[in-house]
Amino acid sequence: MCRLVFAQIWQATTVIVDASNIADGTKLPADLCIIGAGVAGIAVALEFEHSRISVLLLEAGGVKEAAATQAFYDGDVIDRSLHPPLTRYRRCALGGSSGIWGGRCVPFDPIDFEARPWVPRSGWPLRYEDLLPYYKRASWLCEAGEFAYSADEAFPDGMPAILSRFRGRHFTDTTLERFSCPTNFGMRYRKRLLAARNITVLLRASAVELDEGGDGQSVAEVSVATLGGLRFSVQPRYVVLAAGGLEVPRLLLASRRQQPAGIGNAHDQVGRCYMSHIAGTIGKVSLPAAFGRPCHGYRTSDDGTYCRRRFALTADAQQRLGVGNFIARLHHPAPRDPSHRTGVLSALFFARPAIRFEYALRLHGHGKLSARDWLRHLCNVAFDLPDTCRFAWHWLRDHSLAERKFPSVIVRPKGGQYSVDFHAEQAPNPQSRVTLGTKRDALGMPKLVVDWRVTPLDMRTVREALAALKADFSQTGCATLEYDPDEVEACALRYGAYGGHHIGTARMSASPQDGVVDAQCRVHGMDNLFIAGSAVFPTSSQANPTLTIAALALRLADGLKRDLSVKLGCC
Amino acid sequence: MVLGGGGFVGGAIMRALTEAGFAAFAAHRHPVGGPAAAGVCDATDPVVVRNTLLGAGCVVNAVLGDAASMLAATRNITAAASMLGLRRVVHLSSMAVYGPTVGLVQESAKLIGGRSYADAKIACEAASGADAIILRPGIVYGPGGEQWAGRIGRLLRAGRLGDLGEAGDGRCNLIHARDVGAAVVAALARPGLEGRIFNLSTPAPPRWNQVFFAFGRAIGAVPVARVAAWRLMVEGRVLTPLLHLAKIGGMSARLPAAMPRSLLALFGQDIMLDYHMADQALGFARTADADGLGECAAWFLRRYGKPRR
Repeated sequence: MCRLVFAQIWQATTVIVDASNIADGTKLPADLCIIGAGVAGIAVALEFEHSRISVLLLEAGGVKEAAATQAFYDGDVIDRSLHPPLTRYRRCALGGSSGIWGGRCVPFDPIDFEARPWVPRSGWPLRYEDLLPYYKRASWLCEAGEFAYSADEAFPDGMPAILSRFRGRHFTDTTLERFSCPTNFGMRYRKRLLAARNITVLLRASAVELDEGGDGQSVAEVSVATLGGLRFSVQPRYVVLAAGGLEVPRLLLASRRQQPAGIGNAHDQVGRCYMSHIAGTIGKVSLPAAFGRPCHGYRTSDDGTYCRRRFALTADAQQRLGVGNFIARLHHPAPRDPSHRTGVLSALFFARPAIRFEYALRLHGHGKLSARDWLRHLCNVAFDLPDTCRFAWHWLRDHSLAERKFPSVIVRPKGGQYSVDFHAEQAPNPQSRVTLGTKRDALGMPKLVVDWRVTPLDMRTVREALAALKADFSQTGCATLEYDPDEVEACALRYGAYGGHHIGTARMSASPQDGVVDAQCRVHGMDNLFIAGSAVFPTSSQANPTLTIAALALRLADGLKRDLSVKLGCC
Repeated sequence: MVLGGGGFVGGAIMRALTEAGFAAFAAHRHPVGGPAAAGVCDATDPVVVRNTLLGAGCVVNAVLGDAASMLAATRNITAAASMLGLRRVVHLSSMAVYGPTVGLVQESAKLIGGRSYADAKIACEAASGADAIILRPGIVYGPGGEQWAGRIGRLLRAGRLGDLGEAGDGRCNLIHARDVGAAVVAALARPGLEGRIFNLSTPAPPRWNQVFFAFGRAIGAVPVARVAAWRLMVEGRVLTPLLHLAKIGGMSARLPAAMPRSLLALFGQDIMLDYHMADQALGFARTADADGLGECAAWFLRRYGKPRR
């Protein structure tokens, strides 16, 4: 009977199914079971569209975010000043966190894949060149256009420098960040998932345990639960765990029927080396009038993608300084401080309650503003009303109503002083980790405990890189950067683990002693269990992770196709 | 004898046949110039068709028109070919016969149709005789092709086409007009193909969004615009009916191109024609998509000029 119900659903034309339609106790067969319908999960699923492989894509959330399913993510954070609540920066719904991301796409640099003696536990078991073909496809998949991440490639006719005559010894301004729409993978690719008869998406279906077969080397069953109390399972040939950087270790650690430490955790590596990025805004950048206006905003490439230059610490400089990867952008001054005299920034400060938590973080600050500062903000808006209105119109037209959204606020401060916005690599640290706590969620799954930590190397990366940037500016005379070196650490930690980048919790390694998955993203010691997503990154780079998540997912899917073609004679 | 040989596709077939050494002649509803012209032929008139085919060894049916005309022409050609004992009949059908089908589609797939053009093509296939070789090309493009080069280029320049998001995720089963000609040559020359049906398409059809970007960049329609879903809805549901009314009212001279809902549906249709059977049986060489689009862009720039900056 159960099989009959599923068979009917399988053959139905609409193959996005709410799990409440599955009969309790059903065992669903699938060639490929993908757990998590975010960027990684959808990227893998789409690689199999219209093939003979039956794909079951499990998503714990629904089409839209809901409080009840979002609560699955709840957990404990050891130091709340350093890490946001676990329900923030993540989205339990079809499309996953792509429903809230900002769209920034940047590939990792070749040096990120290398073993760097000055960065402990660095080095990937694959090279940049191995990932390059997949980066090219991933860039289109993320709707960030061509894989043209240097100014020369993207703009053969020329792209203005951020600061004219900038020639850095440590930094280059030739690399680009490109911006996705930002694409919500759930909405964008729902039609393709629907059209593919071999793909079934089960919504509100939470994988709560991976059950190994008798040999302990393969996943025989994926146990699934719903908030309605249903329990059923999937019997897959292959499993791809694509549930995000925090849910991946949670499910591995919670699957301890045969291995008490959890699947893939024979060497106590699951959940360790949890990384994010170190980010902040610091200092005052003054620009001599003789050098003209800076070009710190966006240019549109031929494919319609917004692109932006930034200052990137070169590989040579990283080696010379013995630090991690680092980039910086020319940024407007902190909106909270009314001394910028810019109406747009003061208006942004007033608007912060209406801005989503994840993006309003930098608008908030510690302590109360004085009445005088409030008045100065009001004066900024009043005296700068034409510019403020122009900005409001630009934002409405080019961001709020546009399908390809203008990525961020770009203003020229009235005071002529900018700041430096930086984004730095966090080094792998086994003491920075996620573990299972004693509390349980509504489905009985143990909740996570996050103990995110920074290392002295992380702080040194920021300090040394900022000093190098200051030196580069002053060497060419195109700008001066002033900041208090004693404030660097406080500034770097003000936003804590930044941006919802959950990296390294099931890291890739050549040997099982050093990580959880191999270069093919297969869990060490397991035949049919793979992991897709930022959990497998051994290091974090300066780059936002989404593009690399998609590229690795495409590479993983290619490997799976090869495996399946051998085993099943199809694909 | 190529009926419809004065059109874009018919012309490409004529060139391929001539190059391959066939004594080919073109007949069309309008006068066709050149030494290979066989005169004006109203294919809906059985007597005219019979007279046109007198002395021919093979016939290629490349007649285009409204549903009734295409069906009448096919019936007349089939009857005349049978009566005159022609060796080969090649009938040019279309991928439209598969209707809204998605995924990999082989020649044996069910014919769904659903729109007047598609239904007419299905009826024409049925009327084309048991021995006719049927070719089902995808998007036949090439320099001079107003439908898939001129129109698309103008829409790209106007910002009405571009990156369509999910609405442009369909597969563009390109086939260069020259390759259709080569397929016709093979269909006429190779033995034992009577009654067979072949899809004609590029082996790895790109998505429409990719085609729009590549072609848009080549003709200088950059940056390629992101076209919102609501704008496409307005195009299909409002602008196209208005343009149709204006055309009926005799105002067709300088009207912009319409984007009917059927065309918009095609841009989103994830259909891939299985090309293997044509490869095995016809074995013709294909033009690479990038080369073909480059040729189209060069033609477009000559025809419509460079973009105004």
